[in-house]
Amino acid sequence: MRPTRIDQVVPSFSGRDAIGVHMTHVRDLLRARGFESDIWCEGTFPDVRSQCRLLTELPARPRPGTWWLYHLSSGSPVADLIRRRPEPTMLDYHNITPGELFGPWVPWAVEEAASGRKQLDDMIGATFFAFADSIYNEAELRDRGCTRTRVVPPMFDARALESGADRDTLAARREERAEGGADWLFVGRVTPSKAQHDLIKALACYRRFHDPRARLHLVGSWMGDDYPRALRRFASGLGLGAAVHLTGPVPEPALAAYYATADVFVCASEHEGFCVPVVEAMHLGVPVVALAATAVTETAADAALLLDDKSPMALSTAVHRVLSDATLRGRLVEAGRARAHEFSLDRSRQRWAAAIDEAIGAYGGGSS
Amino acid sequence: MTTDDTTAGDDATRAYLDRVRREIDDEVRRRRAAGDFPPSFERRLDELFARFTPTGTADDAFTEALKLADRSAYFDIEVPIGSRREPKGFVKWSLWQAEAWFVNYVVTQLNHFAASAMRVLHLLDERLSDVERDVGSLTPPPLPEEEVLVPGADPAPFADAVRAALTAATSPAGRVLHVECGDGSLVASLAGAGVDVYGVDPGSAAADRAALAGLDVRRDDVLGHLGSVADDVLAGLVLSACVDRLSLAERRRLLRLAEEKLAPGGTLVVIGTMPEAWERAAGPVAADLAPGRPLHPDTWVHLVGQLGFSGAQATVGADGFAVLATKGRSDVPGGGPAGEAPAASDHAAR
Repeated sequence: MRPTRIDQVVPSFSGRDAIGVHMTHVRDLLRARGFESDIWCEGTFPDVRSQCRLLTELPARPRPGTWWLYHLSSGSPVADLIRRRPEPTMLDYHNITPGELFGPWVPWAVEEAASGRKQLDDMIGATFFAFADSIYNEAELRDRGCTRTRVVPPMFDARALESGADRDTLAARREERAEGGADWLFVGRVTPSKAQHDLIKALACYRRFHDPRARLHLVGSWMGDDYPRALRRFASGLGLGAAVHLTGPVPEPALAAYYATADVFVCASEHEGFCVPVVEAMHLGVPVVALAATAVTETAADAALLLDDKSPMALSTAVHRVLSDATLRGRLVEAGRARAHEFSLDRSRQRWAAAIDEAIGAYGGGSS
Repeated sequence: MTTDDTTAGDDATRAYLDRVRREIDDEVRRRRAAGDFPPSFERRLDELFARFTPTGTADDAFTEALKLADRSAYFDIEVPIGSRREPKGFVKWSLWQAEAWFVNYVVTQLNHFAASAMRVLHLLDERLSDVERDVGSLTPPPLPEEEVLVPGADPAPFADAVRAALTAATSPAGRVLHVECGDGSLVASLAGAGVDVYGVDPGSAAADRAALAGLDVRRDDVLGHLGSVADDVLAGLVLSACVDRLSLAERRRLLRLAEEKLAPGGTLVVIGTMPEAWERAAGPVAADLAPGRPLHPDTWVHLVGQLGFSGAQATVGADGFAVLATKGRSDVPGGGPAGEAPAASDHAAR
């Protein structure tokens, strides 16, 4: 049976984050392929309110011909709401950060992660097909009993960052760079699971042993206040208050300016379901040094310098090697561009179109 | 299972990067061994960050914090005076010698104060542990898993009274919420009478069937859902089933939420089971060990009256009862001014 409408659902829709951007591209693809398609959510932001529908507007009665695509990355009552609906449901699993990685910093996230995993099990029993951003995500789905799966990387368009960098940010960054010193960049939510504190430790080593004027830019929204506050205090305590910049969330043009003025993208994250910023950096010719952990390993593949040792000394030595070895840097940039091309929007659209066809073909063959 | 079809680099690049990684590992090892990368530097980084780490949220968080405070409660008078350059070290030593008597005097007093403060904290810890132990012993043992919860009172005998109150001309605008609505029979009845009503139930399969039948019934936690509703918006609130089994503290919270969420003039309905009927249905084990047990209708009338509801009145049926009250308004049937002594139960209907 072919549906006439495939609606996507997510607990909170933000057009800016990786899942929000991906959902928007999936919706456009579905509409282009003749399906009706909307994005439903429980909460959203004023700037993207017109792009989605609130679940409070969802009629209780069944909607014949409609399928759901539920995006799961954390626990939410929305998962239970969709699971109870009679319409066929597909799952797009973006992975759930294990609660223990939030430790005492974000207690509510620990609970949310636990409930998310419980809901994942429930959802697997209620869906007939599941998409996964990465082989890493797919492995968890399969461990939990999901049999009909397909790895399809998320959709995003790194080309959007090629031009239109914010002039003010660019000017400020260039002024800073004129003073000398390398610029490290990491893009991602400021949360203990992404281990920005390890980047500060590595920067401290790097400044002491290699480049005393190096800077670290941590771009991304905050998850709770305690962790970012501790990062600031930690940096101040090390005398790096002026060298570590926590920008908070920035609009796309400002993000483009940070990429354009970065010497290296450094990632110490302990858990990623895919890690879009790694690909963005590669697309924009920024060499990537990353901890070989979770899905980062497969996303970056052989286009990044992946480390097993996350000690500050190892990380700083690796960055120094990348920035002082022109051959290595050149090869990483070249391999990075090729790797990023694998995730170009055109290729992702083709993959998703095929994956949706596969899911439609699979419907009726039992639950996942 | 189908997997990612992206290609991941060539063998030459892979081999090259493997070699670079090995070289980096070797360099780190070599420089650590040579003392260029002193382990103490990395250790200091870890220690400094640990100072900003909040203590755990686990049960032993207080013990953990106390240990941390113990470690920090000693001020060391021996300041580091070593230096790689000889003259600098001598200057530090001289300064230390000159000021040692003064620093020692101050630090000794600080250490005395810190030790006393820590002693007080440890005593408090002991006393709190005693209190926690005592409170823990008051908690009843859990119900055996095989004990089936007694279903809430059937709302059907009270449907007419509830419908009449909610469709009265004096009823404010807004939706009506039936908390723990079960199979949604009351929701259906009210919807049929033109009331804008929806139901919430924490998990009964009956609620799922109600939703599938087209009723606006959602599966949600009772207190959690009510907490998420905006203040002063509900025209009516019907509480049932959970009112029989919640603990006293949870019941108080439920009533406070009801008072917050109802619009002025809104109707509160509590449909409960008569305590005697509940005891008969529950059996002796559940009756003895249940965290909460049904209250008498007069008790509900008293409680809602205390919260400022007016016109509280109970209608008593064979095994259950309904208490109807109005939020803060006296111009409705049976109503009285807020805070006035509640009306008596209507035992005639029993």
